Amino acid sequence: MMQNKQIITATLMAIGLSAALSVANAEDKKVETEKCAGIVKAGMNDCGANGHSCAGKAAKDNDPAEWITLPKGTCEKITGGTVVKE
Amino acid sequence: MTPNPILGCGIGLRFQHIDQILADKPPIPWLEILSDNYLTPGSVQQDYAIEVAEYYPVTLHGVGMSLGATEPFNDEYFQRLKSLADQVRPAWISDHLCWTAAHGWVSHDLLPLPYTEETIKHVVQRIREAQDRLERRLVIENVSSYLQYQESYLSEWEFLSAVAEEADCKLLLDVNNIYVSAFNHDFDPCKYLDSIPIERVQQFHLAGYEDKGTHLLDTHGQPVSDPVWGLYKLALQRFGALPTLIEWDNNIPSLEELLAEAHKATEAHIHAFA
Amino acid sequence: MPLLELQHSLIAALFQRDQLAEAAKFVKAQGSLSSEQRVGIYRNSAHGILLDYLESLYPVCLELVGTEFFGRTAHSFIDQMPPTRPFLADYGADFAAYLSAHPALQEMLWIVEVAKLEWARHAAWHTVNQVASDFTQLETLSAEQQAELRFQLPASAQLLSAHSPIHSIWLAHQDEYPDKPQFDEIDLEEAQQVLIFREQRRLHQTTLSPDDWAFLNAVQNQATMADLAEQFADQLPWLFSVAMQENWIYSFTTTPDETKPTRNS
Ligand SMILES: [Fe+2]
Repeated sequence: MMQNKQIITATLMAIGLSAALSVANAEDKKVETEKCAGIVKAGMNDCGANGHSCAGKAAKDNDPAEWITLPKGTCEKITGGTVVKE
Repeated sequence: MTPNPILGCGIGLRFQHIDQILADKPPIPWLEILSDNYLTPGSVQQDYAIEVAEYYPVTLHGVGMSLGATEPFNDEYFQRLKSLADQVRPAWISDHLCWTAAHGWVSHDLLPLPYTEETIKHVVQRIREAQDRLERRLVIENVSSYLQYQESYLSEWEFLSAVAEEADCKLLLDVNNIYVSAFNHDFDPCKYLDSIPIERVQQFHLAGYEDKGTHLLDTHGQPVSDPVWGLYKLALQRFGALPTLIEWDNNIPSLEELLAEAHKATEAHIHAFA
Repeated sequence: MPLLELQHSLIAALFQRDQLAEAAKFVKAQGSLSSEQRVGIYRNSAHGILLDYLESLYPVCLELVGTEFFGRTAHSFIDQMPPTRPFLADYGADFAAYLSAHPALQEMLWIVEVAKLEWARHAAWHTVNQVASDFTQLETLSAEQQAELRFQLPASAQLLSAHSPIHSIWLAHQDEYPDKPQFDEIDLEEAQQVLIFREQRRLHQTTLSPDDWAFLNAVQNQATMADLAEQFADQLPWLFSVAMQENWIYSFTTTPDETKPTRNS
């Protein structure tokens, strides 16, 4: 328990230091974060899924009888074109 | 409450253009926000809509109220819509004279109603309830349709006019939808316009359809067609130079191209009375 | 009520092909199109709207399996799991699970994991940003309160553990990143832990080390400061420093949290 108390104290100091740093260098940190923290996408252009509209669509509703089930995108390279029957 | 001034010819706000609109703040008379895309509380989408509404007069246009359905209204839908409206303060809220939900399923597509006296009664009561829930008068839009029901015996314009009068709501006339339905069901679009009560109409929509040979499909994927511009001129002469909005949802063009299309509508305003 | 019957029949036809003829009974035949073809226009349109939406939701999966496979799988998904809520943004969460049952994908279940990643991104955009805590206030707490502290990741945070390198696969399909990995060179057997979260209008996606992943999971499972000290011992100050600097930890609470936030995964 004694040891845990020391850990907690040290952790709170680390948190306090990070918090103080983040207040001091909010702007610098942003740039740094982007460099190190993986992928950042920003803005409405990047937020993925399309929305709704009140327009109609003309999709082709194929008959299931003629369905094939072979992925043909990037996967084709991996499967080597193995046809899987349903 | 002082509603935002909605004047002239605006465009529907689309995700693709939001960053540009907020960065450049181009002169756009007003924007129609498609409410259903901004209904998640606290989402980034809603955050953007709120910022856009700080700079432009906006209206809210919905597809999901399902005014013509028989199952009870979705309470959460109304709560979320109301909370969005509180934040963007639209001049008005519109939705369609159609249904989108039944049997626990949601079509996310605008489905037509049978045009009968019984349906009028039902829809009128539904619109009244929706208006009570939102504490404001609704604006109701005519939809494009590709079928007619066996039991329908009223024309669409009779149906629409009766609903507007009895529910005491306003109308959003989609001129393209009138043209599409007129072609698909072989009626005279001019007769349609001439039968709609003038004082009920609040706004026009314009959009582009796709000719599928056997029918016209309301895809909003291209410029407004010439015959629709012609019908629009007649509408302006009958109803006056009401606020007009260009809808473009598939093959969405650049903001400049979209604004150019809105500018064509502005020119039609000027020439309709020349 | 006839309207109810008509609407049941019509909507059934949108999501069940074999109901087209039944629904057509309510519809007039006009011109060159039969009543069944007219209902078919609506079936195509409803499917088209949802297919479009699913394609925009799962763009990397779409590229991985190709337009045709994606389209056919999406069509059958739509028929088997039609939307039940008026909020389109809620639709499609089950698509990954649906893919995982597909016979053609049994040897490629990493595609399912990529689908889960794409849904997590979508969910993060759609989650509220909570207000960040002022961490300088921690000093004022008593030792007992400090031991009972709990911390929160951003509300939008999604922690994913995958058997495959989902972050790398996803990255290989992002055209705008110049030094993205080449898909052909990715070892599909490599496991990856990924964190996705939203910070205002920015979406972060990053891989986590096993230590960071275990730490953030403990935090997300409402471990108290005392629990964390027990579990991570003298690693804890460092784990916290990194997490704070990366904005992985947003807020804290001093009282035991009764309402565990529910998360999409
Ligand atoms: Fe419209």
